[in-house]
Amino acid sequence: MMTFMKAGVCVTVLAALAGCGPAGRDTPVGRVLQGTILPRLAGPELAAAPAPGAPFTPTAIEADRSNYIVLTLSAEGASAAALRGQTNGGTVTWLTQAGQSVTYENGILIATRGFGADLMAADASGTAAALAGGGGTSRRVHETLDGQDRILTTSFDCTIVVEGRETIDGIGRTIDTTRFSEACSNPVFAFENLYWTDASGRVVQARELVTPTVAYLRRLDLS
Amino acid sequence: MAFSAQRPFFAGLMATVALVPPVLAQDRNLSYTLYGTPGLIEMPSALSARDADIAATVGYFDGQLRSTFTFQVTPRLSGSFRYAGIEDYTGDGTGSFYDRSFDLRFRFVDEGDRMPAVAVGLQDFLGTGIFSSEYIVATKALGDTVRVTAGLGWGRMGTRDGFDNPLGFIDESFDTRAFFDPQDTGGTISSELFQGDAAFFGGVEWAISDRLSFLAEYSSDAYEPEPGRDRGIDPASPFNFGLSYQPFDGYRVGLSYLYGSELALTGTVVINPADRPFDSGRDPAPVPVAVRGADARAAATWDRSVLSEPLLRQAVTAALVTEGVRVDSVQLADRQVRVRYTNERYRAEAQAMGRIVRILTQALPPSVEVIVLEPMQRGIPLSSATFRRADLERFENEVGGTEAIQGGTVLADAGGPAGLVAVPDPRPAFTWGIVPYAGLRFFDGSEPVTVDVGLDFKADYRIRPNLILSGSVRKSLVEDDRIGSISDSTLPPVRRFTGYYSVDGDPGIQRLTLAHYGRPGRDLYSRVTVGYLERMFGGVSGEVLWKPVTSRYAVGAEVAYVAQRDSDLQLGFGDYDFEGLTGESDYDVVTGHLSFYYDFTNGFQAQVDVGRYLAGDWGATFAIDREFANGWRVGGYFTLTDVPFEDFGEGSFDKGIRVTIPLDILVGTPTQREASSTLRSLTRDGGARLAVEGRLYEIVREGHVGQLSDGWGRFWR
Repeated sequence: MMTFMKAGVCVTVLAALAGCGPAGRDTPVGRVLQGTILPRLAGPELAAAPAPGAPFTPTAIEADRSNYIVLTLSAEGASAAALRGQTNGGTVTWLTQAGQSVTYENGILIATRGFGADLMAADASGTAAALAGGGGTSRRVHETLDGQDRILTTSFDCTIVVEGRETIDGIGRTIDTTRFSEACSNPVFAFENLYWTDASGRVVQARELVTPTVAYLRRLDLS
Repeated sequence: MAFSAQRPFFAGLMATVALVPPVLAQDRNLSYTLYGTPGLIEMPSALSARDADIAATVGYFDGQLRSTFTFQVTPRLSGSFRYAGIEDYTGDGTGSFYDRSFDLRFRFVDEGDRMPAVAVGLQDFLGTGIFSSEYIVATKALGDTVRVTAGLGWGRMGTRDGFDNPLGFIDESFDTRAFFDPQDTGGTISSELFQGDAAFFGGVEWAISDRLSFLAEYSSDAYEPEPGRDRGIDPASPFNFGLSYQPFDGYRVGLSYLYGSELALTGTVVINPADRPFDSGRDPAPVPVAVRGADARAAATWDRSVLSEPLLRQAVTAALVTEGVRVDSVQLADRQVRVRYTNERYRAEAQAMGRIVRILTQALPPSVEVIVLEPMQRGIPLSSATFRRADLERFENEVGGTEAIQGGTVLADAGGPAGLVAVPDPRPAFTWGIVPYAGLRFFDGSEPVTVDVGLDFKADYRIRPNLILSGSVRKSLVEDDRIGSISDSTLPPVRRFTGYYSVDGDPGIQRLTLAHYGRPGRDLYSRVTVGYLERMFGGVSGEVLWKPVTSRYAVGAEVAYVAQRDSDLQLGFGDYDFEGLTGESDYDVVTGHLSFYYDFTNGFQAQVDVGRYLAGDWGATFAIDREFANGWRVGGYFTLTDVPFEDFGEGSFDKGIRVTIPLDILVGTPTQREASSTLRSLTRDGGARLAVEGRLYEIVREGHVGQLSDGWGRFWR
């Protein structure tokens, strides 16, 4: 669990940590962030996307918490903010300033890009159902790319159990959550994901495996 | 046995790029001999390396340096190319001898519980071989740590305690073997294979740990001196002992004590095209797909007064620039949009397509249901790929989505120009650059290989997208006036004076051409190139290729009329100044070929060219390459013409091996650049083909089914 002194200070830290990387202006993701891919006539969901301006500044994050999350790579400990890039129903893609993206479906990670050994796609619908039902078993399927650009499909058998209640620090708010652990394994590999759900059953924090090389990625919702 | 997640190699949202040595997925604990092949110390074993392993070995002892590349062509077949330097070969302190040799090995029995692995091998089998040997060898593992090898060798490997050839019952010619014929031009498959005495050899390998092995062998190579030749070792005993150590995956060093008289060192580096140091690459994230709401999707038209067509074209073009895609033209309609573009960034065209459709789902009005992409190169469209927007929205992050999109995408030849509106190209038409180059120069046996480095000044001027004026000037930074000896030839001097071109033509115009590319018809592609086509020849070259988008075969025809250039590589033709041979050579020739291409589905690619070569000789070139979906290519070719072997000169016929390494694998970020190298036999005049740049097949196939399928895993990347 991460601890932060004050909402304002840590948001500043987040913004500073995210400062490295390409300017973002000329990357495709940068264009999306600046709203220069126009016009967006596709419907109300896109219209809710953040307005062009200067994202990732502490004031922008604080003013617009529903459009930001905090990502942390567990092995490195470094954190960065990610901005909402695309909302397609329950599937949301978030973009970091360094040109990476993560996609969550109902709060569960289903894809990453820009991390090297990325998770190309994942089927975790069983996990979502188990979280809603207070526990259970599920079968997860992950897709990655091998050295010859072929999609490699890996399956895991997972068991989801409630570990208890936990009050977590949501950077400027505290949230009473139920903590779940998902233990997944197959004959070659085993890992454990953690999920924190709030009173309404929404996943507000998660620590999940991306791929064996990238290891675990933690996400915290800011609203 | 399961293990939990390890520390990551690359971590952090602000990761730095670090080059790491190639990583092998499995530790084969395979040692390489001084000859650069899998085996003990000098004797081979029946083991094979991992499929597609490329091993570079350098072995040294007392004045002999052997450098070998071994490629595991298939899981059973491996080939080796070796360059050996032997000091004081003539024994009188004057001459060093530099020799090139080729090996093949085929494992035809796999190791089982009781059965050993058995292989047959040919060492230095292309004539004039000082290492010429053939062998049959078996290797068996006993328990976890010991491997035993035993075999029968012919040729050089049959010189110690040899006995009458057991194959002598086939024909009496098998009983004797001629070892080295100075008159033999070499280069052809030795007629002495498996002839002469045979002898046993064998050895044991004991794995002390999973990185260190102890080797002991009985060698059947007696290092017999030849008249006037010093083999380099005076063997005191037939036994060799050594240690082989693997400090990291992919690296191996060996120390051995040879024949009771010499110490030897070997070092081996193994890389495999299937391994990538940067995993799937550090490509920045693509734009997410925008999913239309149900109401929006029902729209059948879009309101031009709210969003005009020119504005939409401009928005799409500007957005695609961020992905390294240059839009040529766009056709807009209410339900369908067609984009003709050139991908200048991604090695896999499929990845470029994925990036483009993602941006289009963000930019296009909701009524557009069908997206047609037409990739171009050199200003000509190569194919068309049709996507349904509903499929793109559905399969973006879904397991099985890559395969589903591939199944739903319709591939066909590009449509006609009707309806397309050209988009102005904002980039300058003139581009130039200075790049360094490096190359190896091989000479005859009296000179070692030298490295040539220098600078290439390249420039392109795009008069139209498919009409390109380009050229390059090269300046070497190495002062080297050596030419090497050139044997006489009855053929016109189309290639054998290449050394003079290297020395006189420095700096020199390598190439200065005007090239036009066209689409004369359905499935047909054309090229016409005029100017100084290559270093030694200039003129005009025309080519037509027939290749349907969804086929694996293609047929092409090329005709050129060329004249020989001056050796000073300026603008003149026909004057040459080859040392002591000044004069005029108004040599011109009509050269041309009919070419057949076939792309096998297992990664092998074959090409046969039949026609007339630069010296006026008629014949055919056979080439086969192994291609990997990640861009690596390793292959070889040989050419047989009506030039008799004696007239051809040393080597007997033209042959070579070539490697292409995609640079995006080494740097991690997307790039289309690749490094290619061809190692060919000494440059002779027979079987010489015009080296014109920009031949159609490699350009056209980038947008066709074979390459698109290979790279399709990267569509959603």
